[in-house]
Amino acid sequence: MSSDALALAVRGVSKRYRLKGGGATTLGEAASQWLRAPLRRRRGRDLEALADVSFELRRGEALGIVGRNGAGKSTLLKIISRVTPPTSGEVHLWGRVGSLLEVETGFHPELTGRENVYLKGAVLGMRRREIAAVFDQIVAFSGVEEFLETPVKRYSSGMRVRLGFAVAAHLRTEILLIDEVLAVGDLEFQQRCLGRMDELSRGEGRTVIFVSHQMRLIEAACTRAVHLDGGRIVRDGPVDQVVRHYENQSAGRESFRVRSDELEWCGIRNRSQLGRLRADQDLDLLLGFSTGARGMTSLHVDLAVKNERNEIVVHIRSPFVTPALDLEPHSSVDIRVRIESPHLVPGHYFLDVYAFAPGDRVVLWVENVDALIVGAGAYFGRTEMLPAVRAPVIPPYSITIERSEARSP
Amino acid sequence: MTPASPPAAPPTPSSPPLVIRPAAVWPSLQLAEIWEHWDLLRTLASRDVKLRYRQTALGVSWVVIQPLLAAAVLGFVFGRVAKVSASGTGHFLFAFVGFLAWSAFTAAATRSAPSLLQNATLVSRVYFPRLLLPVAASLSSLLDAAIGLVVAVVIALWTMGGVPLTVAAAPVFIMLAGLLGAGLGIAGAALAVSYRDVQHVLPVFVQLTLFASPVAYPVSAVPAEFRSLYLLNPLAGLIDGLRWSLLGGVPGAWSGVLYAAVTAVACFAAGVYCFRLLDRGFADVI
Repeated sequence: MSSDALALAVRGVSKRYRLKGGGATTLGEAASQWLRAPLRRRRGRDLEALADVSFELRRGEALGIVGRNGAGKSTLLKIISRVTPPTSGEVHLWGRVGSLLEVETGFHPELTGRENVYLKGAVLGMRRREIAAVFDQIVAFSGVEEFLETPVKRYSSGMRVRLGFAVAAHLRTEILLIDEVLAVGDLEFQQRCLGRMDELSRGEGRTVIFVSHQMRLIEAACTRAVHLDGGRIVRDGPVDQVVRHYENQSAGRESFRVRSDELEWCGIRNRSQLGRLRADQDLDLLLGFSTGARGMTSLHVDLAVKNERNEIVVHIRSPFVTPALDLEPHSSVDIRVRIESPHLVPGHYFLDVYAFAPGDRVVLWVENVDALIVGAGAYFGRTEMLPAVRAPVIPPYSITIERSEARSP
Repeated sequence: MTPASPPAAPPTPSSPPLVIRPAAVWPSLQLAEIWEHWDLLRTLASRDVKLRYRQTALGVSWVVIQPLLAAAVLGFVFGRVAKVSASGTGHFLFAFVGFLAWSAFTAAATRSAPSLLQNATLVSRVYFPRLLLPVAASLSSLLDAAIGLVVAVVIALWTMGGVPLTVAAAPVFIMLAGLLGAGLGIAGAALAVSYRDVQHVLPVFVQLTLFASPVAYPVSAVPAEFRSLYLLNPLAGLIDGLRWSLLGGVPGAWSGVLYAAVTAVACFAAGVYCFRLLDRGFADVI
């Protein structure tokens, strides 16, 4: 079996939807419209959900699809899974496609767990024999053994999700589509799902397409990613690059709350080294400033490190850490902030920088500076989950703020 | 962790890919799809049957009780109140057999018509041949008709002491009635996705055929000048045929039976074609 055989090829796929306007919803309306103008095409605006999308996927590849809501991610999955036909273009598939667009799809609340496993399996394209062969595995994975003869309507939502994922994850299809399913379920279950996905793509050579808004899950599960925007592919490449690009694009824009010509913000000097940190690495930031005609005396710089949800996870008040700095006129200065292994949770972090002169006079306040990314590897790469981090860890870490000697060009 | 399931059979590199293309303007019937997905069809049909009698005290016995009640009322109204001749057989059995054919048609039509809307989440999220939904619903109604047929034979044996050999043809008439209803229901299911009116029109139309068909009265009771118009209703020929096969005697008109059989098959084909024309838009519209 050659591992670089194509599994899927999407060639120039577009999808247009007719928006409401000319459409009739009752037979009467349709008839009267037709009687008035039998041959005219019904008016209505077209919405282009996908525009000329092309990519290829090899066997065993795990592709993540990222993009804002409405970017066309779900439409693309629907076309690949044949739920809806494309308006133009073609998709070539080598092998069966199994989809996990919504885990509970295919369940009927009145039927028992056992009946639903067979029903859902059949709906997803498995034969009775195939389902019977993996039935015990499905049940073991879902952990609902005791409730197999209970109608699914009496299940907790967690049990339904587990059973639903279990059926789909044991489909014997060569290509598996997964859309935002891991948002449900607890951490332990998410972990098991990720493990299973890894098994499928790396271990069994299945091809996986994974859509999620959780970038860390995409990074953990995929090797390659595609960024969709407005129905077009804007980037296709290794997962960390695409995710980074997407996050930069979608993050809150860097903006100034206070700006003066006394002190100018020149950005994070060593941003390129902060692209992929490990959770246990030290945080070393070089903040660039330049002074105006008068220079600065007794300057303090406060710093807030914020996560993707705009929550502050580390806040440094410089007066507690270091004496005030004096800066000459018309000079470029780097201020080095060093936090020893802050153990940040994997994710994308932003900075708020706040500089003030004596008397708490604010001379610079810049927000949402794209600062650093802590990679998922150390967390999700292993089978066992590290204890869930529920609050920012405050280890006894040491912070230094100093004027940097080594000036980067 | 669960043991890894056996790897999926690797597709040979030379195997031709499945190609997804834009929907054809003029689709074909693709009836083969039904046999190719026999497993799923069976599962869906058995789901329909299981669901129908779940949480009922009398369970599956409703399949027998319903037609018995209907035949008792119809037999009484037409036999005793309206005093219509039942051409030799008892009014009850006469009405029972008529009702059997009629309900094979009705059940197929009324159960398949809402099948797409009832499974809207499935239709919009998973791919499988959507035609299977109304077909499975029709198939599940055929089970009721099959049980009804057995009951009819038992009653005939009991009241008349025997059934003619032509009883072997009875399932054919039941199936033709089901095919007629399924054709209507499949088209209805497809139309109902865009036009919910169907849900209101179809059941009424189907109910009215109870009086427009020779369920509780013989075709001979229809005035001669209206008879050719009356026989345009294919149910007349099918009910006539079923009565002939179960109770003996001569059907009102052989040409009527033949016409009904052809119409039933044509109606099914037309229903499926209508479904195919609308199939492409289901997931987007439903």
